[in-house]
Amino acid sequence: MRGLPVVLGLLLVAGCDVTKGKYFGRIRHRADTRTLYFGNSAEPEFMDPARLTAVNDGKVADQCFDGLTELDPQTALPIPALAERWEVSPDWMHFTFHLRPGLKFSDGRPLEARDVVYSWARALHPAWAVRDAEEFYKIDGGEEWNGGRLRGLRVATRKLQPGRVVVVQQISPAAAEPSDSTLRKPRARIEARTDPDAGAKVVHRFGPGDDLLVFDESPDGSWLHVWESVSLAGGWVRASDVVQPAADVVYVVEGLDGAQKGVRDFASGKQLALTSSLLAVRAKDATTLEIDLAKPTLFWLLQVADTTFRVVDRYTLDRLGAEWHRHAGDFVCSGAFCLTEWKLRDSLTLLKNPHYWDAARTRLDKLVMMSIDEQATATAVYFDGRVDMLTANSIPGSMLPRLNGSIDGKPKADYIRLPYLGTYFYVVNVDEKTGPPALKNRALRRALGLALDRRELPALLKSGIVPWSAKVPLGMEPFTGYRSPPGLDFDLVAAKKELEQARRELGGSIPRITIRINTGVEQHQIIAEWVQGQWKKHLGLDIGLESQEWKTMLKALRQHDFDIMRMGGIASMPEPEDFVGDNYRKGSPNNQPGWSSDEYMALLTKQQLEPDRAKRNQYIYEMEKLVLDEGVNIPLYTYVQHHLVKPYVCNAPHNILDKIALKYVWIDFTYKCEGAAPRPTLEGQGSITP
Amino acid sequence: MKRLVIGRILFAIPVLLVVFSLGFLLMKKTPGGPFDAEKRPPPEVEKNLRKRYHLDDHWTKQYWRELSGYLRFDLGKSLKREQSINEIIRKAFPVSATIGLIALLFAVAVGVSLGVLAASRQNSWFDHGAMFIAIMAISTPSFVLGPLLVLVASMWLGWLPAARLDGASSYILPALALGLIYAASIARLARASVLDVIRQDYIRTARAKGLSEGKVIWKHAVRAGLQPVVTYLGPATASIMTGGFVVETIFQLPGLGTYLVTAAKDSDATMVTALMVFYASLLMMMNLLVDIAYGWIDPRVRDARS
Repeated sequence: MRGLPVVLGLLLVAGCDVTKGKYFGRIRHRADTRTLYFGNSAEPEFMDPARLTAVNDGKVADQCFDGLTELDPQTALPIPALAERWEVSPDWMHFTFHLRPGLKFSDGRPLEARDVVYSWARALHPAWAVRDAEEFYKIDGGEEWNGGRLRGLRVATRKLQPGRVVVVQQISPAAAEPSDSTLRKPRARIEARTDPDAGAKVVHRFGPGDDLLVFDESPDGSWLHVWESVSLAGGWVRASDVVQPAADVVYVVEGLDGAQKGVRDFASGKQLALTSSLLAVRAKDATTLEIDLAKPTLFWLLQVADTTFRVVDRYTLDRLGAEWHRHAGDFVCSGAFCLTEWKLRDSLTLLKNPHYWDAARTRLDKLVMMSIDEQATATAVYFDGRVDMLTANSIPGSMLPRLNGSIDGKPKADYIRLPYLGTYFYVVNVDEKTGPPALKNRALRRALGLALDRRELPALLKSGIVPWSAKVPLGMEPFTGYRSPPGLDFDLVAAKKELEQARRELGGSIPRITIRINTGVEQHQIIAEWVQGQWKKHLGLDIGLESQEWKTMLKALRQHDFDIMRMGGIASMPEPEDFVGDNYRKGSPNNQPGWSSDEYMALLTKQQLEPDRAKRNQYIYEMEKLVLDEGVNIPLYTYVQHHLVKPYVCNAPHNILDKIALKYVWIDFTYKCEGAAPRPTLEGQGSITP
Repeated sequence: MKRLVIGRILFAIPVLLVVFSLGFLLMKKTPGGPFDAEKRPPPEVEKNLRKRYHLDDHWTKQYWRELSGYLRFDLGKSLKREQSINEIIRKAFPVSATIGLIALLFAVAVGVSLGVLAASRQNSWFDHGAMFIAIMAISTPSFVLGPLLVLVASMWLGWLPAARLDGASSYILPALALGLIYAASIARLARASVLDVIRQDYIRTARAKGLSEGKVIWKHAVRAGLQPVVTYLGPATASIMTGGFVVETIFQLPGLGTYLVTAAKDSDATMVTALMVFYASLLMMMNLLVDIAYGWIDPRVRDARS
């Protein structure tokens, strides 16, 4: 099957000769200018914003769910979304967000600060097993909550012992205890209400799926004993210090661990107390949200714009369960559009959400996001004029020269190329136990890095990539002011000197080293053969080349079972510590080369506690310099992204992170696009050197 | 006939059990899991994931959990997509079957008529021409034929959509790309066996009795001559319905073939095992249908059985 993309690509290249026009392929004008046909890549796996992991899933979910902030469609800097303004403490550890007044979900229910608290607490809930839960660990108590070590409070019931974990199965509005038969009835819908006992104060109530810890109480009931909590120190706390849930509600709970597993009991609201406030996200009132972080986090405003942090509707989740996101048309959204139909491996249809706060700006009524696996197929459908724009990088590599003008000097007007915040690099295995002895030699590693004339890469790959010798990619500066130190750029004299030293230290000869790449992508092969050639030509080294299936290669990476491995990194947010930070910590499971040093660790600790941007950048600079000087990573180039967008699609969001908000887009068959941001041009790109 | 059907169904049970067990064990031994990525999640997250998908249970417990689901015709959930596999098959298989059926009808209609006509005009220009085209078609894999068809019919001429299911016209190119190779094989089979039958005594008798040439060929020769074609059709039907991965990818059809390939790539153990079992039962069912069809086509087989 490796041949398939190649054959498709070659045939398409031949096919391109059918048009020599300004644009690539047919343009079909239609009467309907309120529908956008978007060519997405493979069939999405999840629409649940917290649980999805694939980029193409996020592109759909981002339209359906909104976050506190969003990214500016052109600059990718954080701008207000659900939150209209915010305050940040000088140490970047305490945030107060003020939500827009009158926010609503797509069913018209008000969207309040507590919905944000719910969305985040549920994403961190162990039972949901969210793959990206780590992003929430910056919140105080987040790691403990996700690890199942932080629970709500519960005083002992008749059957359940203190110290046991229980889960709320169901709530019943009746004052009387429900009988066993009600356990099998469908879950009751929880309504927001006011507890008469608590006066006019709106009280919290637990919902199905909340898990709690059974607690002891003092004989007079005024003290509760707390285990394993974070914000509240261990020991006894005043019962009045913890929020009491509604007293007239009966909760059905079930034991989750030990001998109490499966044991069911009933508890009234009076017996329960809430501590999801142990997770340091608090809804102060309907529109105010307070967050305490565990460490200074300068990128928190960017982080809360991430798909994982987007707001979901609690009632939808309670009603539809874990597979709620497959019930297109039935679930409630917080974003500009809402999913109404999901046809497997065909398309997802989204309709405009009339209750969305920015609905006045949203000009499209409908989005049809087509799932197209194969790049060549996507490009053929675009050529045929049946899709208005393609998601980034759905163009076969063999077609790019035809689009970017490197063949005839006439780039197509509907082809857009811009930098993409990521680096393509080789990892050198220096792990103490498994690393090959030759690569433990610093001089040899440096020689390898210095002997690559990366300026040859653009002509080799013809895709517009920018040669790069630093780990942090090009394009970070506008966000953070960070500039990478110079890496081991091509220097033949220095390379030969280092090689001589390596030879001496290794006792004359240099053992054979092998480059490992993953199968199925032609580009990796081309690059690896080029690197092989460079090291042969400049250093006289015979380098082996082997390829492995992706998952098998990932396992080898984990076990540090390789010499040199091809890898890449795309920024999840524009922050240099995404590339140089925790990933070279001693013993980190993500330490790819298996390298660290005391100096690096000292800098890392200082960096993580430093709230000042300039000082923080200085630490990261020194850390990156260490990594590059040691030659444990051999960066090759920074990525670019390729788009095909029909000329009648106006104001398409193009930014360095490829985060798209389609609410900004409209269709204009006169191509005038008045008021739209200009399209990025090809000029001036590809000329930047590190 | 009844005995044949019952016997086959009883035989299918141990076969499917072996297929299931093999699939289960092979996937347990495959490196990597559906949650692997470049960046490894913290231990808390890995623990939560393992717990959610029961991966921390002993393998015998997992085996029994899945097997007992199969006994209730519940193939479980895909690990990667956390979606019911029954639902995926229910939605995706009809698409594969429709495309396969169209391709099959096309292959039989074109293949049989070409083969019979070629046989009845042996060594004529028509015979040589048809067999030349058949050889060409057999040697062209669908991943070359598909894009070629897209290039000509969609990109150059603009007559048919390049991909995706969107109206009746979008079935034409995929069915062609999928069916042509089978049409060619059938044509060659049909030609050879009809030629064989034409030389038989009973055909000579039919001719001697003064039947018209058309009646001799189409009534007597073809019926007997189709037997190898029917034998071929059993596995061909199964493979046309299941082996559509390439065509499904080129034309972005929401069929089942792609799920098997992506599931294998994702190390989605439950999905791979379920599809293996599903395809195995499909293949056995097709072979049973072929055996039943023999009896219908050739009275001698029917008589021998009863």
